Amino acid sequence: MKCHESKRLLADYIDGILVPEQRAKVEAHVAGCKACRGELEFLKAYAREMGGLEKVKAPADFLVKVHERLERRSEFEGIMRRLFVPVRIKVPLELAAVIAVIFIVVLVQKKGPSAIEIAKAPAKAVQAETPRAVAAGAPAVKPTAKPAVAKSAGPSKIEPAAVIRLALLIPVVPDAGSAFESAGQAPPRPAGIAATAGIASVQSRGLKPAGTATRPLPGPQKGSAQEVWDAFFAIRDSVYTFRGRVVSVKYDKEANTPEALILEIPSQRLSAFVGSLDKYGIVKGAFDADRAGTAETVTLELTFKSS
Amino acid sequence: MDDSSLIRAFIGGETAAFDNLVLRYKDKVFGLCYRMLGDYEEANDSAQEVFVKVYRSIKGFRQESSFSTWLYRITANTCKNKLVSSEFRKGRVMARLDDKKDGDRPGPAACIPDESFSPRKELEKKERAAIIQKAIDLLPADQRVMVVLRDIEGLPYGEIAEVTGHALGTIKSKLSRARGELRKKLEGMLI
Repeated sequence: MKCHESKRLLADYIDGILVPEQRAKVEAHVAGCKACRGELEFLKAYAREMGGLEKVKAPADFLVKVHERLERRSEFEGIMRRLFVPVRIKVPLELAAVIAVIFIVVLVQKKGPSAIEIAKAPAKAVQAETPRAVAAGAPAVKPTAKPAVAKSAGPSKIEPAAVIRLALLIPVVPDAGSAFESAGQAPPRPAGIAATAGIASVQSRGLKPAGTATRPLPGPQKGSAQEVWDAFFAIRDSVYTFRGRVVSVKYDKEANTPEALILEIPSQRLSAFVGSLDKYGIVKGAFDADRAGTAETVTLELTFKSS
Repeated sequence: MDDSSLIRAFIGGETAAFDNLVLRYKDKVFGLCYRMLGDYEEANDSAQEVFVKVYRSIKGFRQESSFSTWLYRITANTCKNKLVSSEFRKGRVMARLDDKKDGDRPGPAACIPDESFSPRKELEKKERAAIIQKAIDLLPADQRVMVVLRDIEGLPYGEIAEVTGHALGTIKSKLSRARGELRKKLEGMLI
């Protein structure tokens, strides 16, 4: 027997499964072969060592743990059974439900921005129409014309104010002479009046509220001038008591008198304000409280004239 | 009661019969799992899983082989599946890295039990067992199952063929390769 054949049979020799004839041949070869003898010694030691390994035992609660695992598995399977059995009915229904939910979510997300755009559209329509409404305007002098009302998407929209033009005829008092004429002094000009060609426009925003004292008489010494200036200052100062404001002043440089006051008056107080002008003179011009329409404020151009 | 009677009783609805089977074979199954996986907790988990599979599939057991052979088959397959799972392999890599930190010795590291509670021989025995287990852990799954079934559990070749589904020649070939690998790692200790 040669070494390779001997080595092939050594494992079976150790296992004790060789027939007697083969067993004898192996033993005879091993007796005369150092290499095979070494291999045999290793296999014996190996079998001894492996067979002698300590038997590792299961823990004491092993059976309990097995039952716990079985219960957990049963609960899970019970849930799965309730969800998916019968498969042919439940699975398609559940798939349809999932698809429907996804569809609704996608639809809502798409509708969201559109809803915002729709809300903005009426605002744009209102803003676009406002200049036209103002340009077409309510005819300022026609008593029956009503101001053009811009179409609004909702009651919260503020209508542009129509311009109401009134004239205040201030009665002329014969000139009895002025303090300045007597003193031979040139009257001081009202503060803030720019000496420019044409009509000077004075931005009178933020002027003092009512109660301010009458200014010194400016300009040429005409009898009407004093009255006009007095009326001008009084009316200007009273605007604030009506929650209005002075937008601008037109000034007649030649006459050295105020020509007109441009005011913004709340619609609700317009009638009262116009009524208050009676003590200064005669109000001329068409005035219709309905003109204000739905506007929050009304622009009033009050022209001063001497009667 | 023999295995067949217990199986019949269990199929008939007696849970106690299943419990008896578990108590009869739990140590063999656990030991096989431990030698295959090299870790006590993993062996416990796998062994429990084996009996859960037995519980659920006992009705499909046709008794063409012995119950123990069928049980070993389930055990070997359960352990092989665990060996090839990525989670297990990751865990074993971490374990080996931790072992290498203990010292600079080449080859498998030994788990050294506490000397104060063991006599010298017992200590040496445990050290050798740990070294052998580490060497087994380094074998590929198919060789490992052969070594455990044949060299540790002592199953005859015929039963190993039934458990693994391999022919006798294949079994011997794998076993020979496995022993050659173990010899390289253990020769100094064994001889």
